[in-house]
Amino acid sequence: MSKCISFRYWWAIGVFALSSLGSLRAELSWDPKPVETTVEAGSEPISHVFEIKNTGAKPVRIQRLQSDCPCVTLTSQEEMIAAGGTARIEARFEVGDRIGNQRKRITVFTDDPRDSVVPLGWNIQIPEIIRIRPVFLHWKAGAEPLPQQAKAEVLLPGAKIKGWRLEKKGFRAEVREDGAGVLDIRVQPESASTPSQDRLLIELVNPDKTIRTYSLRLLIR
Amino acid sequence: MNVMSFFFPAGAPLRLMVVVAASALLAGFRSILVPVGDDVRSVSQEIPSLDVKALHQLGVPILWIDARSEKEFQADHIPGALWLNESNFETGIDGLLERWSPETALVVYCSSKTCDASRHLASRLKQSGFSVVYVLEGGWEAWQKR
Repeated sequence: MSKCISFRYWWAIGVFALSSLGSLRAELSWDPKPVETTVEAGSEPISHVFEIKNTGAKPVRIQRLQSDCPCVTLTSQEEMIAAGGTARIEARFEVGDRIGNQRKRITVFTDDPRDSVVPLGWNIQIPEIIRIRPVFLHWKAGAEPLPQQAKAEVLLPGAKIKGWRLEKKGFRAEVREDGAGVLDIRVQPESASTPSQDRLLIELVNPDKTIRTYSLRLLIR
Repeated sequence: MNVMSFFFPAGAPLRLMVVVAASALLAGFRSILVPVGDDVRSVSQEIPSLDVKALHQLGVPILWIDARSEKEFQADHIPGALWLNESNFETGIDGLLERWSPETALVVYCSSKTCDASRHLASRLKQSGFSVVYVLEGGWEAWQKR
């Protein structure tokens, strides 16, 4: 009988000890879905604050923050995430001349053995305003100055082409607009005997009435 | 045949079947839980990446493009490299054209394997009309270890 009590006693202590150990660990939680943001091309830098919660009973140290792009800078006010506390990781994205779908990966390294790597995602959509393809036309110096073509397409709804002009002399350009925001561009150098460089400038009026200039580079080399 | 006998046929060890089923489930969940970076992977498929040794064997002039931050570039860079990333793309492209020739291969590098800025930039350069564009495998870190 006493043996049985003793076994039950130790068994209960064991279960209690194990459950206590379990409850003493850290428990990190964060939103696994990437944050979706849309921003205008050429805007000022944007920021987002990611939160990592520690719902466990043990504090966690943030060891390192890492981004897969130099365009994302990361800062954290907290070095430790206290038990029951929240860490706020501020990510700052430099828009600059970026366009399209920018998928950025942010990694938070911690000393928690269960969640030593916390992956965060930030998808930033930057709609292209105008697409010029190719961005430059090249003629070989000394070769025949044959005409070449490029296309410029206005992609921002409400934006309109105001006009175009060649920056310098030495090239001839024919530009046809189809009325739907697409420019068919045909350029020919007057001569390709010597290296030179020029630009065809396309002026665009944005929906907010601001005017921006975009370039098709022309290169004889 | 009932459902149980379909999933756990007689003779097959039950534990093994459970492990296989659990693995399949986990694999399925993984594809749902890790959507970040899919775009980057598709970009990387378009642009070939070469290591330092392979690049030296290309036999064409190389124009190095440093896609790291300006601060990192100023601290040190591959000799002759041009600083260009998507932050200064519109102005930087003029500087690139000053030095570009049709025989030149553009090789873009970033800080390390974990940096994807070089792949994004290389993809954009390719779309812009530069035909020969590579990414330096391992980036600046690999260059220093060469």
